[in-house]
Amino acid sequence: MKKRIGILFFAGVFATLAVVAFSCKKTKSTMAGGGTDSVLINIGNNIILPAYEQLTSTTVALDAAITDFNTAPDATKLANVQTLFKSAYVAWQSASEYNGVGPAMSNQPAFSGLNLFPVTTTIIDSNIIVGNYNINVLANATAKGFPALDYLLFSDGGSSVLANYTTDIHAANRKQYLAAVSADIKAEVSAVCNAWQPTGGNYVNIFATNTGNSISGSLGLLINSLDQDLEVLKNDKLGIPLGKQPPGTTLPILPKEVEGYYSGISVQLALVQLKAIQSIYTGVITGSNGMGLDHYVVAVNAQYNNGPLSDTIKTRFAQAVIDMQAIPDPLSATIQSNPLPADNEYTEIQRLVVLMKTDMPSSLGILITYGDNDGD
Amino acid sequence: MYILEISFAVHKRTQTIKSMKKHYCIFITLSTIIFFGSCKKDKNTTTTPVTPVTYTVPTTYNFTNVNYNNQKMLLAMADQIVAKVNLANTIPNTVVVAQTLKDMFNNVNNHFNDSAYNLNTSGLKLADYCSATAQADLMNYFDSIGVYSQSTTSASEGVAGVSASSASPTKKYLLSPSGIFYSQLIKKTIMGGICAYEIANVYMADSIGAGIDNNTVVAGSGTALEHYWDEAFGFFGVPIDFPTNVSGLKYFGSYSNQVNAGFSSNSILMNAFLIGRAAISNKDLTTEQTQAAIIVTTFDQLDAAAIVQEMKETDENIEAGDAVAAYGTLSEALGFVRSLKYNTSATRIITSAQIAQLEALFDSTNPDVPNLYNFVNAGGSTASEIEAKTDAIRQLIGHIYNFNSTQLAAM
Repeated sequence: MKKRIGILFFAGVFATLAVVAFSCKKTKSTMAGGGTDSVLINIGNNIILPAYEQLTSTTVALDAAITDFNTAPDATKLANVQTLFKSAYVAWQSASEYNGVGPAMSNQPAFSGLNLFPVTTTIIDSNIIVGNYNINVLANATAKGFPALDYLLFSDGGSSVLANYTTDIHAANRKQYLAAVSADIKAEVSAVCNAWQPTGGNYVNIFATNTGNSISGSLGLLINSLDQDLEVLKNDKLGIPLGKQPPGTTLPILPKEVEGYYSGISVQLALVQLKAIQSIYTGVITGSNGMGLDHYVVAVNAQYNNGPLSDTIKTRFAQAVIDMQAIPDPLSATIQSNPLPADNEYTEIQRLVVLMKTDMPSSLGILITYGDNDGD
Repeated sequence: MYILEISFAVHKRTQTIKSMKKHYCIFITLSTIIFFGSCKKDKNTTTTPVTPVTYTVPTTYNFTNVNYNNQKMLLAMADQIVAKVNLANTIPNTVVVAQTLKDMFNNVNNHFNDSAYNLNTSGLKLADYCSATAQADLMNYFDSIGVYSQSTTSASEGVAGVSASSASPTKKYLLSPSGIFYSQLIKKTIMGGICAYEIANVYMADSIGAGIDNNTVVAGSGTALEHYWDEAFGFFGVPIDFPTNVSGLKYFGSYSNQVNAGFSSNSILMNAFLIGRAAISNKDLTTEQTQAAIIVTTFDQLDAAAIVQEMKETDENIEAGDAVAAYGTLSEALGFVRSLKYNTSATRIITSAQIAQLEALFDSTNPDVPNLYNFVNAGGSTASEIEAKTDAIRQLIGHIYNFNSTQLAAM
């Protein structure tokens, strides 16, 4: 056994040297650990906090409008609820990037459970008829959250949406279900948002001071979470509806698998999500250019095809945004009549995933720890 | 773990090992660093200086006379059995005949699709390489597939059938009445009952023991000792330049890579295989035995780490609201738990009582034949309640195998 210990000891010695050498290259970065980190401060204070605040205010407004609608449903109130739902769903797109970080990760029920699509409409319908349910048990996982509201507020069920809440024999139960789903969203969002606030759990401070590149450091958590979110965009929002998931297969186009199928705003939602991920990378948020992940990538002088890796990533993000804007909503109809623009965007996002999940993390010494879940 | 990754990248440079009669000094030379290991003063050699034998450990599994074609063929047979079982995971259902699977396992009646390997006429059969306990389990599993694959309904508690993953609707799962996904249970049993069993309980135990010839070189396969070592490596399921190259990983090769962030199994195992093989070829049997012991222990830990990895995947499935996929990953975990029993090594870390404890965490009322519908209980449990159960399994493994929370999180 001595020899084995010796080899490990040696490995440790070399590893120490390697880390010293690694740190020396970037004396101005705090990625080596300790203190605070200006990138994390910027992302935490100027990107994440505003995103959660926006999500909180939109879901609070939505819930109030639903309460009002339920007292006396009419067309005007329904239109108002539908508009506020879209705002809240859009706001979610700038917050889902952090589902694997801190409060959202430890939130129970699972915070990511607020956007599991496609919705299982048969479960919602039967819950409404029975009138007795706990929307947070596993069997109801795809009968809650934003996809449930998308269905409840935009599916006419053969007559009209308003009739579902007025003349339908299950109108009373449906109003109750609508309120329950909305209240759950509001409660979960406010709990997570509060945990980030300096006046609440102050996770924003923990986030800024949990420096270093270990798998439990903020950067490791953020990049893993961001990449998972990017893969949701690639696989769930585009790949599965286009029949391209799992990769290398050719499957039928599945229009009902898109996000926001009933409201028809899939591309709008995906575009906001893509831009949110882009802003975490570039640090650019409406008008001001703060420090994003690009700061680290530039600091380690990471190269890609004989040029700076960071330039390549920025170029690909810009192109992905342009290609996303070229897809007309509703996505469910577009992929049937003209799948090419969505196909192009899927390929573009695939490139981004490789850069963001392989090249960037390896240049920063970040390990990707989430699984492929491929059954092997 | 990032640190160990760096060390390995350099570690792969040439390692020079000097061996001396009656005592060993191992020098591992990398750049300017030299490590002196277990050098003892030897009072007997002061008057008779010995010329040191120097040998080099290559960075890839490139040795003279390496031959593990039999293992490639056996793993190809295993692939085809698993593929046959997977035919049942279709809607509408495809019936899989148990006797066909048993025939394939015993390589009779020409069921293999022969490509370059000529599997049907090879004379090889997996049955010869399988732990007796695992073999009994596999025959039962084949019978179960034979029965359940006849179901034409979707799966529900008490009813066998095929259901789709909700998150990936193209993935179909034939589940037993108690939610067992036999195709993965079978695959994991092949891993534990054949691959790991052969490596840790046969090759690294009996086949490389004292008395195995290491002098007569057979062209193409080396000495008997070299050949057994190579065959053990063949059951690992990795390319010769692993872990630099992680493509085409199979069975435990794939799992080593998946849990590598948790305990660096890639470099531990590959280094041990490389050093041990070089040692054999240079008659350094003490080093060979040390490496064998590392391999035996690491395969034990790797199986345990694989259970932790499946708990992570189960959590991901639960959070995706995908109960069907969760039955799949729990069945994989169950296969790894039962594989712990197939390991009869004296150095196995987990005790039989602790294995029983683990099994009870899957279903305390039926630990031997768990009902996974009780574990998940989709209609009555929230995600956090189910994840408390996966965490209990994770924590017990961590306690027994001494994996800390950071390691557990990275597996």
